[in-house]
Amino acid sequence: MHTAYVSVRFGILALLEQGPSHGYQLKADFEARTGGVWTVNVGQVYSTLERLHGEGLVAPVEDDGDGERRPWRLTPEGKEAIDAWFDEVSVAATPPRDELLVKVLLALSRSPGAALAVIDVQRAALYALLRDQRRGLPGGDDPAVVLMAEAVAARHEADLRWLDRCEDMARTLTTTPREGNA
Amino acid sequence: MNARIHMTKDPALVLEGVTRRFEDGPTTVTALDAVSLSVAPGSMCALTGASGSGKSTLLHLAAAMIAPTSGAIRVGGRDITGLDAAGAAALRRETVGIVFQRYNLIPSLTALENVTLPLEYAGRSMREARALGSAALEQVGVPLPHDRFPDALSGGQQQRVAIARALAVPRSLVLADEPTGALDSATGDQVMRLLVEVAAAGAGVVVVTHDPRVASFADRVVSLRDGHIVSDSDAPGAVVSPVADVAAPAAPVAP
Amino acid sequence: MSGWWVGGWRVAARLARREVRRHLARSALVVVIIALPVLAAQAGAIAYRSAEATNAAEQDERATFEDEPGFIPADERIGYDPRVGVPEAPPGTERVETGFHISDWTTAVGGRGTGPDDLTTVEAVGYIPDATRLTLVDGDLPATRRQAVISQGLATDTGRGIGDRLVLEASRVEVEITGIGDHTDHVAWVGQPAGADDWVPDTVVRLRATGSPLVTAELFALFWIASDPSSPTAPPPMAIDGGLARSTRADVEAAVIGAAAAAMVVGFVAVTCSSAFAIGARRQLRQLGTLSAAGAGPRDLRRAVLLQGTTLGLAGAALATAIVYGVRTFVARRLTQTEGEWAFFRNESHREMIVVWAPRWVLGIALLGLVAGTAAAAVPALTASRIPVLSALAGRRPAARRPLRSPVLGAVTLAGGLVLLSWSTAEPAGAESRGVYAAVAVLLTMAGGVALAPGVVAGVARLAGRAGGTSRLAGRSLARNGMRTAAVVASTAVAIALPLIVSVYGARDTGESHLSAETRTQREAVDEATGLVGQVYVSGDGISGTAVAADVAVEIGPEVVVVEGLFFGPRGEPGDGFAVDPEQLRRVAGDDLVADALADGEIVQLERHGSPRASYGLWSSEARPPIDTTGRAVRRVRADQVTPLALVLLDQADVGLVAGPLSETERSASTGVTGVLRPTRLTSDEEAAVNALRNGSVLPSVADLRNLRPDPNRGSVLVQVASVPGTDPSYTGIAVLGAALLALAVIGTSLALAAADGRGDDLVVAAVGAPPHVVRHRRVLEAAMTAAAAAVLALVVGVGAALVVVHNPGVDQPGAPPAFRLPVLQLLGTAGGIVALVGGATWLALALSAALRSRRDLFLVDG
Repeated sequence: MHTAYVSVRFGILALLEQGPSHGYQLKADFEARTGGVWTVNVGQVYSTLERLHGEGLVAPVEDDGDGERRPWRLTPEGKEAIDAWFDEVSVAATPPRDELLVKVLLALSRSPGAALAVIDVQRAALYALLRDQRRGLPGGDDPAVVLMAEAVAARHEADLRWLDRCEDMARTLTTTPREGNA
Repeated sequence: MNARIHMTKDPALVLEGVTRRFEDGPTTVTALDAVSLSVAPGSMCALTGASGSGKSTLLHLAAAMIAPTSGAIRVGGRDITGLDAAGAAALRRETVGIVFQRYNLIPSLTALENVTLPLEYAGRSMREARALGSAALEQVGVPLPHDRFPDALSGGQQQRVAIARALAVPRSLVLADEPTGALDSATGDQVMRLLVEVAAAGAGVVVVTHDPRVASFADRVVSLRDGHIVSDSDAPGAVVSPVADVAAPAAPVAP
Repeated sequence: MSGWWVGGWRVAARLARREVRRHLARSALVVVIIALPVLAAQAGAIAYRSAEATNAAEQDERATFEDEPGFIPADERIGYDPRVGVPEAPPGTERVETGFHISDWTTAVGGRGTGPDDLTTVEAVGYIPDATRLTLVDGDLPATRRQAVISQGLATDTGRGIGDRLVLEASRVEVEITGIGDHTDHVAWVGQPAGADDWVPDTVVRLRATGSPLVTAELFALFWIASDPSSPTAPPPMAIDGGLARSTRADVEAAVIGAAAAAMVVGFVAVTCSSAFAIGARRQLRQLGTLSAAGAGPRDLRRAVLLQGTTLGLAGAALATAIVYGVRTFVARRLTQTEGEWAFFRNESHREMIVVWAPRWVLGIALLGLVAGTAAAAVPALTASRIPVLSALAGRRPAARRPLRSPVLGAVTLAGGLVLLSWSTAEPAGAESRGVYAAVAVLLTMAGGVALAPGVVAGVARLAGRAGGTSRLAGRSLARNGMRTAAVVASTAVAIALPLIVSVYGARDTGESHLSAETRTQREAVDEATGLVGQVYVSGDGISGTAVAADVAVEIGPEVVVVEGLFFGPRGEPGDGFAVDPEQLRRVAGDDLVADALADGEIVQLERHGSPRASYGLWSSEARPPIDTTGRAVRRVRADQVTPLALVLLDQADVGLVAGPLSETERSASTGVTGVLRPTRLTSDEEAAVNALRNGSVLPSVADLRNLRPDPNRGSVLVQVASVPGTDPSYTGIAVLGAALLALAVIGTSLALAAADGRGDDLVVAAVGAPPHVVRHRRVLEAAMTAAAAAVLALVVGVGAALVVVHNPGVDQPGAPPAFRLPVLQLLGTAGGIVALVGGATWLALALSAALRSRRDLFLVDG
């Protein structure tokens, strides 16, 4: 299952656990609770609600409204599902696939020197990103915001660390003799 | 933070074509190869790179602990290339502050006495030195009493004291060599924020680190490899030091 | 505001204070290691001064003369030896006068006095039989023996007058000049008390007047003649041949010892201080690096180290001085009442010891220690200011310069020192200036030894490396702290060298005693052999030590049988002369007797072994006794003194005296004296002694004994034994024990220092799982190897220096080195014993501390 989809799905379940809510509210809450980084399509929310309803995990609240303003609530099965989701471990099963990764690995197959060039450029850019991100921090006490920013920074830092590994590997593969390096 | 830093128009640190070689037994090692760098005052520059890349050597050159084999170095506009031991000591008293990873402090002196060391060596009276030192300790957030010995302080507090020592005298340049290496990440962040404040007050701060998190606090990150500068976050797209084209590996890298 | 107390000094003082407080145990160790040599030197100075004072006081009381109850024959001339004492006057003596002959103090006659105060030595010969001979010109006659009358000439030459004081050399008695007088023969006369109870055969050997040029023409002698007119056998004149010639070699030796002691303090303190502050400890290196990074310049770094040195040096010197005065306060009273044999104060008379606390020496040595400590910290201070900041911060010791030149430099310095030592102790001239050179030579020798120390350490480490296992570890550990180990080795070598040098000197003394005993025996036997009265003469009452020389000569004296003779004076009346009909002289002993016609003025010459030894002749009483340059006085025989034959030896063979041989009972003052010169028999005691000596170990020179045949006409039996005093084991024993303790203290504290500094290594070793006894064995081996290296150095340098001094010809025997055999076994045994002692004590200490220490968490945070 696509990660984002799973997040929205269980995001809705988690939000409904705290009380009935309708589509728009769910969208707003989800965005706010996750640091305001992601934007969720309302339509995606509604279609997810329908699917969940079909699986018996949510149910509309009978009395109120009509159409989009109709509030939804969590069913007992839904409660079980959300509990189970919180209990289980979330691990990305497949290796990450993003452009940086692919670029560096392919550059390595070109030549170690090419890989180093890619690494250097990427590194500088990542540091620039990090710096900008740190400067652009909205501040404030909202833990969600802070933690999401940290998550972004942590990914960048992880990439930078990985780039260090790549640099070591590329240097090892270098066949051009250099001056004696300490 | 008060503007305790010596405001100057000159760059805090300038290296012009600096090369540093030394003998390691029979071989000659080139730690830095014709490196040029300029650090503006009021900014923090991080130096990253693998061990042996020359980043620590650059720092030591800036602190006049070693001399360049060729090239020129200027701190706050003043040429420090040909300083002798006494001159280097004076430099470290007045112009350049240094923070290390560990063992910054003399264990048999109190925190305040550690901070007042450069002041006393410069000949200030005890009263004057104590006043300046106390103020610096307050600024970096070391709680009273200031008469405790280093072994009664936590690692983070010790680093703060070391930074206070670098601040007790207005400095053009503050150098930090892996300042958070011995600290946990939260404490390390505090120390880095302190250094950011130091930079914001007008000094040039150069931090050597291998930790991207630490480097992320800096305005500019310069990466070194084998004695050359290979990337600079101020100019991400540029290839600063072209790398010689090398042959492809024998076998393709496995996916 | 910057005054004298500028920041750099302030920080240095603060650091020094704090360092001492933080590492109190280590600082205490260093203080102890500084205090030890200072204390040792102070104790030595006190001992030396006390010995001086005691001996001087003893000489002052030479009146008791408990030794030597034997009686002296009439013709005997006794060699006066102040160590032996002068015999008592025989019982019944009413008035005793003793005389002595003063000989020159140095061999340089005619030049300037060579004593330390520009002495005038006055030599005179002659005698004053009584006070009536003295004509007083000014002042009063002396009434006590502390008063003197001097001649006009002497007064003029020495610039002394009434009321001035002169010092009598041997007895150290000060006399006051009470008068100026004239005597036909003499230049000075020291008064005698009137009563017999007060008789004092004064041991004045020379009269010393300071500040004047040498008077060569004046000679004087003071002569008391024991006489008792009523006694038939009045005691003979005791012509005491004085002449304690104080050799200048003793002065030089004193200077050498003094210089060596001072150098020992300086060197000891300096090298151990240097080792304590050696910039090797990582902690200290990092601290210096941090100071440098904080802006300390080279001068500030130097100050920091130097102040530490001064502080600890001051504490060490103060501790030593405090101990000395503590001992003085609490023990002093008991010390002065102690009687008995102390090693330093061994003397025959067991007198009470005088303890001189020598405050100037004590404080001076303390100051020396302080200066040495400060100066020693200067070397590491210099190193500190030159270390690159980066190395210091990393805790890396600066790359040690290969000390290749050090052993070469050391050998050159050592050789130079030994050469200078040999020259300065060789000739007798000018003791004082030579003393300075000797002191410099000692310093050079010690410096050379110190410079050799690193080479010795490296050698020992290499040998240990071959042994493998724990020895190799220990050797590596020593070599790694090369300079510190070398410093400890040098200090310990000084300590070990002391008993070795004492042994060498002891062997020299023994050899000399042997030689002089042999010589003295032979010479005196020859001299005395022509005595005509049987005598058993044993030198010294009893023999102490080992008899190494004996001369038993049974002389067949010339028997002069006088059949008829005249005792007459120049005009024919009974007088002083005695003639014998030469025809009556009967040959009794081989070819020795040469009979010539005897007439007034003619002589009979007795020869012994071809050389004239005695003269007999006729001598008128009016003639003055001649005075010759050797100063042997001729004794006049008065008519009313009937004495046994007094044979007077004269170098001049043409003047002589014959006094008639008398038997015990036959005597006559008139003509027609008949007497038989009859040798006395040996008493049973004397015979027993002779037999004992014959059967005992005596030199082959007395093998002639066996050729003697019993003969009632035997002239005399002379047995003279010279013995060599045995070496007092307590003296050597104390030196060895003291050296061992000092060595142990130095090495022990140095190891403790190293352990305190290098605790990290032990933690690693323990963490790896090595059993604790491995560490212990390594430490013990380190201690033993350090001691062994020190022993080697001590043997090479210390014994070498001692040999150089010992082999120099002394004043007494120019050109002839004393008989000397190097006590190799004793030296090796002493050195080996000390090494074993150090190793064993270290093992014991470590084992005890391991047993006593509770199981504590090993992983203490390295401060």
